[in-house]
Amino acid sequence: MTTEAIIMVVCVNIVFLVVPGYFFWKILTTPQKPEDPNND
Amino acid sequence: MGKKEHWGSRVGLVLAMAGNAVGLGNFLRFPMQAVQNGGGAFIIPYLVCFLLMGIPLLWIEWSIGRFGGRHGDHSTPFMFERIGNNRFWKYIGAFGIFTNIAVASYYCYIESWTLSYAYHSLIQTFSGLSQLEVSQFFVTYVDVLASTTGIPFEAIIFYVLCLLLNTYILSRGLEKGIELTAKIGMPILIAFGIFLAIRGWTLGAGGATAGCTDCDAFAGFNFLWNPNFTSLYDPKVWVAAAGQIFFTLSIGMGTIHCYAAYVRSHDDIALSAMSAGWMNGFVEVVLGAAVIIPISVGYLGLDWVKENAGFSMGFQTMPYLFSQWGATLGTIGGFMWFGLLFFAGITSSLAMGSPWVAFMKDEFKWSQNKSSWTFGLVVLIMGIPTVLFFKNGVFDEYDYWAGTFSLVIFAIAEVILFGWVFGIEKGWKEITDGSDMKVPTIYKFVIKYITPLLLLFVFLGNLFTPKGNDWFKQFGSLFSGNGWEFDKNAVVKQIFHIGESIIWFNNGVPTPMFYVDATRVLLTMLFAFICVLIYIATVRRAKNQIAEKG
Repeated sequence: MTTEAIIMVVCVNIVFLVVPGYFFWKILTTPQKPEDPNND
Repeated sequence: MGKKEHWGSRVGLVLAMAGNAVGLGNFLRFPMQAVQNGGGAFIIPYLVCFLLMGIPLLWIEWSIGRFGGRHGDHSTPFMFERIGNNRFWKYIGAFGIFTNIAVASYYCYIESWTLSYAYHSLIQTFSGLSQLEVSQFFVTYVDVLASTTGIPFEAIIFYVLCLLLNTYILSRGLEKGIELTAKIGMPILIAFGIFLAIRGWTLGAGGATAGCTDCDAFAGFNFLWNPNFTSLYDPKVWVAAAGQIFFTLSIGMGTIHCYAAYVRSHDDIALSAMSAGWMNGFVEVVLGAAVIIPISVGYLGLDWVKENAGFSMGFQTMPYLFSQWGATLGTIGGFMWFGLLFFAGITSSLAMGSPWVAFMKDEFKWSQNKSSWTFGLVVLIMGIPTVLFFKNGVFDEYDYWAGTFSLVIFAIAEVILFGWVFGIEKGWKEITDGSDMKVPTIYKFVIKYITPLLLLFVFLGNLFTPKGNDWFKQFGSLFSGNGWEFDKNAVVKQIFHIGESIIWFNNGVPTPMFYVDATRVLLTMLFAFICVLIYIATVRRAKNQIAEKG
């Protein structure tokens, strides 16, 4: 693999691992709001 | 009034939304788009389009959906009417049901291939077959009158089986059907994907046969990721990236609206949308890119892949490659690959059934069961022509009009509706209501101006696609007074059959043009049928209102 390809694949894989991981972790750790009896 | 139906858990919602987005295209379309459009450099327009078009549209669709759900509307026709405050909008919203039925009709067919191929992988049908024989297996499979392994009408049997499975899961409802399937299917899909991606990364030159000098999986990664930055100046690459973002996120279909309608009135949508959207990106970029191209190059060589790269590689090449892994590992690998594609497919096709089910329940007070089984019936009626006349181009015609063109039209309409008709201030309030993340304010501007412009760019790119996708050449030709030559895929050329003679029968035998035009008539009839249903629903609503007042 060329150096450019290695840099590209490493950077892109890090971005697409870290960002989705961060958002999913936030989903798991943020408590859900209580039900709104008027609307739900 | 009964208790409103909601998602059982937030993780279930995010997995179902991600499952809706993750489809066969993540594994089969994205790698091909990347190698054809600048390799590693393709990720730059891909990311730009994701940030400026994908994310805004996700937020718009989630917002419209939750807004509609709050008022008892779970499908796009009456959501659009309510948000646009005009009767006309509900007929634009009809696309949100039409597209799903039409796409499900042919998508379930591809899904049934994955089911059938998973079965054939398990019973080791491909063991000992040459590459040519595996390729021929597919050709025989899609010929409904021929038989691959003695099962008569195999393609039809698996199609009906697949449809029955979809319909059954839909009939179980939101929480026990769709959400449960996503909670089981998505982790399995990701686990299978990780296994195959690890195999892609560790294969190296281990699969090279004697005499093959370019059989090296790393050459495949290099082919996929080596950036050609000059490609960024080519409009074709940007149109391709925008198109990929569009189709991979399942935006412009009406499924996201429907799923979001079951979110509680003031629950977060901004963070959930981001999580589902980025999860789709992870599956596509990290897993999807590490399987088909590297493994194919590892066994068949770079030259072979360059010549044969395409969607069909998933079915016509991969079973042969897995058979090279030996009996046990090959069976596991094949089952995992097609199992992964199956789960990617079914989590998407279930989403396609939801708008019809929701519409029939809301407007005609049908039960979950009745709505689901009628969806199966309508899809069967619409889908059988794609199975029987697959080779005559019916399948491609569905994919083109319902799976490509309608999405862009619908998205342009909704972005105008949300940013301009409903108003960006009210829209922004909807996006940020109950949000568990800080939504960057710049997106107010992006939603109002940038996203519509990008969509227009995609729309015009599809409408006037130049011959061979060579924009520079055609602009040069146009400015030098020699006109614009359309590509065979350009919408204007497709609609008006530019440069073709209209001949439907040749010696009494239907021509390919007959099948193409008959398919268009069928799709138009489906759209008209949905509009009639919406009209009847409108009349029923008016009568109910009068009765309530009286």
